Amino acid sequence: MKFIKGVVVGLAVVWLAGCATNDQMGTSGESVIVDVTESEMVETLPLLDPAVQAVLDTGMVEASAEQIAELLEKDSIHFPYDSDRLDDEDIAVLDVQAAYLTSPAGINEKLVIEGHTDERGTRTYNLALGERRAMAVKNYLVLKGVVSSRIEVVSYGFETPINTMHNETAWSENRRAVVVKEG
Amino acid sequence: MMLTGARVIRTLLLLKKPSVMWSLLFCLLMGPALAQAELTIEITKGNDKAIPVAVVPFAWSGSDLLQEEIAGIIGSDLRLSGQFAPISSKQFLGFPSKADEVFFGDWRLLGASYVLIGRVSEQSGNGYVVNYELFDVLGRRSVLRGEVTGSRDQLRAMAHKISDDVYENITGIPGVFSTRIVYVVAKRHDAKKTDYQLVYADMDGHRAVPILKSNKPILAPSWSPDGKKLAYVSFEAGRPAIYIQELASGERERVTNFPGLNSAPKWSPNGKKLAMVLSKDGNPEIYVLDLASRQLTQVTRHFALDNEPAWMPDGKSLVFTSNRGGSAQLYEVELASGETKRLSFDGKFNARARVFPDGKSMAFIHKGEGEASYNVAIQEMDTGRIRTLTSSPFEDAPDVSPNGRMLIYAAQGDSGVLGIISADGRVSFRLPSSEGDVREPAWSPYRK
Amino acid sequence: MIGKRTRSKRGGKKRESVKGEGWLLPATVSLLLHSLAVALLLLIVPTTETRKVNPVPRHVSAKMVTLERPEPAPKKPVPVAEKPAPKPIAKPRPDQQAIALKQKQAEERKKKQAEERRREERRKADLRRESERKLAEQREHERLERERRERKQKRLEQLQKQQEEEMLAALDRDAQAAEQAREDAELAAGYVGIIRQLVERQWIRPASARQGMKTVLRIQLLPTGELIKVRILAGSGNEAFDRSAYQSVERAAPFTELQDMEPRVFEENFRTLRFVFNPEDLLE
Repeated sequence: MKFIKGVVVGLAVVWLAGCATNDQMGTSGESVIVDVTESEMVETLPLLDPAVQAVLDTGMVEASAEQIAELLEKDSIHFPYDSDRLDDEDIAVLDVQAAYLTSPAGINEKLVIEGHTDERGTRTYNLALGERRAMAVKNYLVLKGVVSSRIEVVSYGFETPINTMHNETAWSENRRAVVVKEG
Repeated sequence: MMLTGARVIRTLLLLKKPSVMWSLLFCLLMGPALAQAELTIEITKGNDKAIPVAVVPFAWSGSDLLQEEIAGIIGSDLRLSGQFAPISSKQFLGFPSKADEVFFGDWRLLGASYVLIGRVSEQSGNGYVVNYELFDVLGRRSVLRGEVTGSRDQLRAMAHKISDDVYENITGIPGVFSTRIVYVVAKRHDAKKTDYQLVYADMDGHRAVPILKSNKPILAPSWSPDGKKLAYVSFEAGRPAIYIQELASGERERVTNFPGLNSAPKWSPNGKKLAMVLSKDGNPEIYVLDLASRQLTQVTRHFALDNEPAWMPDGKSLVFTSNRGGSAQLYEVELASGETKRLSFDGKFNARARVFPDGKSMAFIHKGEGEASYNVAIQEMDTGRIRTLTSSPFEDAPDVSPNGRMLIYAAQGDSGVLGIISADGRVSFRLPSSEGDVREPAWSPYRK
Repeated sequence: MIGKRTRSKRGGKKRESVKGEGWLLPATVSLLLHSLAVALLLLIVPTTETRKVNPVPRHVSAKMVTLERPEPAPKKPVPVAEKPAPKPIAKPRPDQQAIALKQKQAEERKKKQAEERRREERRKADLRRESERKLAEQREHERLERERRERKQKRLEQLQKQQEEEMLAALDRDAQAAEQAREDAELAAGYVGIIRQLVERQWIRPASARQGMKTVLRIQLLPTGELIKVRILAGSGNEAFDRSAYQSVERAAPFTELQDMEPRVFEENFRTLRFVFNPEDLLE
């Protein structure tokens, strides 16, 4: 994938450079060598991840490509203690996800949203809390246009923590909903 | 008083009023006579420490070694109940196995309130007969005599039966030493691989046997009232689902197949229904499934999280956890009317209730105001009074013994262990831990 | 020995019931006897100071008061009749026979008159004497009565005083005894407290014990504090509970603390004891 990108970029650069000089040649008939940097602005356009591109193309998200790329990387939403509330950061992430999933590039993708909690409380309570967190994410995505049947929700409660320590850091890491794309 | 009385009399004499003097003198002189009634002492409180009991090693007439030490098992049972303090046999002056060998004075000297003696003999046809007798040392008399028979591999069970008998004779309530427990053991190999087992054992943790093995989580086991089946949550199908397993045959049935959450199954006291939590309608709510007709009835309808149903002994209402009030608290819903009332008001987290067999109190996980730990607490239903029983940082899954005298719970940690505590909180034990992280215990009903 | 007499007021009903000697049971209940005696004496005490003298002798008399026999009335000296004065003898004269006869007749008449007079006077004197005698007799009688009554009253007062003093002495004794009894009771209460604590410390309630259960025991102790016997007077209906009750007493015994007690207090209060086991501190 990266090799192809490199080739495309390289060709683009070459092609753009060729355009500039060709124009210059075509107008006067004389062969005059013009210093490009002095008289014209040159813009380089990096090659975008198609996902990022797809998001940009929907126009649903106002952010730079970099930002979008970063947000797309995030597959986990984190939650406060005993809560299934989504904050602005979470919304930003989900907006990007929703944009992608409703774009032509992502329209057929299915996902599973896993709900997780920290170890405090009871296992059965946490199973339900994880469910609520996952559902909060799903509901937002559905609100943003993603078809409900594409999204499955599974809660693991405290059964599969990513950090097995018994401190605040571990706990905050474990309180999450994870968007898992199938296929 | 008497002196002034004499003065009064003297004055009255001068006044010469015989009728008054007559009665006064009568009282005066009869008073001491009346006070001659028997002294009565009222005893209104006590000192409920463990009853000292001597369990004498049972005599064995066979040639080979008995594979179980019966007196040892009985002593452990009695100690586990929290109500008895078995005396070490090293202190015994003698080892009677017959009634005429029991000298009350000796046992009185040791401080024993009771002595249990017994004899094991082989029964024709590959079995044992155990005879036992319990003596009230202070009353100097025999109070219980019995006999149990069983096959060779039933020695532990016979010992537990004797423990039940002794316990009931002394305390007046049935013992639970012949009951069973189930629990989940998790063995984590790495971040991606953990093995889970549902284990079935004697209530003292012995004779543990796995009845389900899985590489996906198992939780929330619940006993049927006849003790023959278990309902539990398993992730084996990729999401939490409720299964019922018949212990004797190992046969299983997946009871619910709804998307989302299927959790916290709880058998009704009459064995005909299963309460559970489902999120199929968009939010975790409580439902009751009729096992015969498989008809599902929705019990709670609230946008908040409703979870962890527990039956009241009359089967007419459920205690459950809800955060409809802003934090996890306990509520009660009457099934017929749907009327709901809040039960817990103390602290920011109250969940996973279990109602005692007499319906008068409930055990649950409680985080007190300003506290950091999650502990087992008991709340009286009528007064709302709470007592916290335990004190490790993260406790979970309390369950109550069928005689309402003991609780089992999980003390979480990297290697979680099970704890047993007496309902009055005085005595607690850790059960011998198996390998791995032990959690999610459930106490069987009385074995029929 | 002692009869019973109810107080009777002037003009009121008179009632009497007499209990002869030996009718009362020997004083097993000495207190009853004592009280009866004193009450009896009480009742003899009159209500008022002023008493009407009853000239009419009571026709009802109790046997209890032994009155002396009335003294014989002193004999009054009978006035001796005066001897008539001797008649003067006169000489006889010639014509003087008639004169003398006349004089004699006159003298005889005089004599007769004098005699008449004398007889009259005698009669009068006799009457006078008689009436005087009667008056004197009456006065004497009254005097005797009065004296008798006075003596009786004095005796009664003496008796009364004596009885009062005895009663007050008895009251004092009783007061002392009561004082003693009070001290004993305090002492006994102290030991009761000790015993209660000892038993409570040893009372282990079984799991089936509930508030409202009640067992009553009776125990017998020796002065050493040793337990001779325990008996269940009333059970609670829960055998385990009853057993826990008597076991607590067995464990607490021997109550050696009782050895410090005065034997009298022990005998009166601690030979047998009643226990009521009725828990107030159970959670349910």
